[in-house]
Amino acid sequence: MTWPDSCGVAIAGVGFSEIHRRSQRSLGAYAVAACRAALADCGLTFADIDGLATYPTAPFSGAANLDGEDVITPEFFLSHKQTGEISWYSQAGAGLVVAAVRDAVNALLAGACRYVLVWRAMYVPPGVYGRGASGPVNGDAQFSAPHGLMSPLQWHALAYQRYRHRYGMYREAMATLAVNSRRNANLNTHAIFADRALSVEDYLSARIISDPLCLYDCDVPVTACAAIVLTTAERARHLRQPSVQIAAIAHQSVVRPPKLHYALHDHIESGAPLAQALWRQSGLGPADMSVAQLYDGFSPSVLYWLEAAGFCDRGEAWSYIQDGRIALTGDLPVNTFGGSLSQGRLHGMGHLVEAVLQLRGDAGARQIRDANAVCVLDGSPLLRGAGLVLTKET
Amino acid sequence: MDSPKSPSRPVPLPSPLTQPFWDELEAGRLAIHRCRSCGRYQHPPRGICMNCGSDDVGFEPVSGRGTLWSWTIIYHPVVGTLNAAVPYASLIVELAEQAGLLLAGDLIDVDATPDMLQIGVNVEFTPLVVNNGSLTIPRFALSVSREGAT
Repeated sequence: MTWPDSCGVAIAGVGFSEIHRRSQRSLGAYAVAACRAALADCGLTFADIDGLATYPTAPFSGAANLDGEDVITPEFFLSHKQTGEISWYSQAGAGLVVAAVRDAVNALLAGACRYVLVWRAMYVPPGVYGRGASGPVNGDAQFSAPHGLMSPLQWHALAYQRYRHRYGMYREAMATLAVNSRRNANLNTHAIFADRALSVEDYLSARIISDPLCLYDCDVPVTACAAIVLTTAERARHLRQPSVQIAAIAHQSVVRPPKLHYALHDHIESGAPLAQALWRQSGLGPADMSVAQLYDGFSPSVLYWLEAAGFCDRGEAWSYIQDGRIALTGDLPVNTFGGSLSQGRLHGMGHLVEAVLQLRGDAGARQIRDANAVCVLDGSPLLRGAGLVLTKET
Repeated sequence: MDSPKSPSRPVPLPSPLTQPFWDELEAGRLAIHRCRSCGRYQHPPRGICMNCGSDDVGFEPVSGRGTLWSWTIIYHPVVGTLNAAVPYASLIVELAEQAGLLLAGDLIDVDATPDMLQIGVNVEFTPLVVNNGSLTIPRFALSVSREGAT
């Protein structure tokens, strides 16, 4: 099969820090470790880097927002003495980490810089996660917060409740995804749950967080960082690793008002134009994908992405994921590294790094044979959705 | 009156645009932003009608009738002051005035069980006074009969 021309930007290197739940070490140490690993992967050093991009936002209330403690913004590396002269940087505000990648692609194509480091550093604060105080609530949230509806988890629960009702999905069907992800994580040393199994029974007996979402429908917060190095395809050819081409990149731009209530059709129909843009840019389609890395901050997003991207029809994703179809040996392996559910919450960077490893043939026991094209769909289709298609260099 | 479990609710901070929504609730009425040009309701309010672009918009009373669009029972609140309330049910209601006109609300029956919460059942608005009388928010009664219900 011949691939169409890519956008001309490649992912040259990838790297991970260690991964823990809570840690006594600062997040800065994790970030430096991951970036150093990504640079070493492609044979570069901090001194070669002249571009920086991340989506740094701490996903919990009450963050200190102190660079190096619980967030790592571009300014952290701007003031890091080991980096080279930085000519361009971006702090993406939406789209999770793919938005930072998109900014980096544009900067490289514009000639604003030569080698861009993109990272996502995540931190777990002490105490009960995300249970802070609430001051007065303004904006759209003023209409929902008095009813105790204040987090993406709860909005997802409402949309998922409706999905299950509308399409006759039963609870056990989602256990398939959670167990599949855990099985893949058990083959991944960079996963927080590398050594812990999960059974269908474990899933079904898990405590409910916001009905119908249970504990194992939620990704696991971790303290860790993952990083990639981007450069032009031309420069990447002279680096250490076989480079991975960005064949398409797109950002969700169709939020149907009002997004406040996370209406179910908004999830799926907002993702469809994004997926169409990816297929149009790459000249590829769902059937060409060897692997799909689908964001799973909350498990229902995987169903919505499968439907939005056209891997199956509306209302069919919950049955599509059954019978081993998304397993490593299935028709469409999904989240081969464990996903956010079982690797840990890296806001899409875990998905992206795994896509690169699969295309390079570096995924070890998780390797999918002849992986030629991988799509990464990040965020939920409605909330900060963004995606890319990656291919092997021709 | 507050329910027996009376947690402190997160307090809305109205803007000039949203203030009438809260003022109407305090008076016991439910009002939704509506375009006087094309007649379309929109919630949350926006400065103009997102359908026709007119800025001749304002709050109008609605019937308070609707159907249950979705619901969740929350066991793990994200705000500490709601710890005392768990588990609690939160609803999204589709108001009768317009398809897709959605509004968040409380459930009137704090002891409702999931089998009572059927998507599509009829619901009806009543005001709920919380936070020691300082805040009125929408809640909805289910139009389903249940043994022992009052």
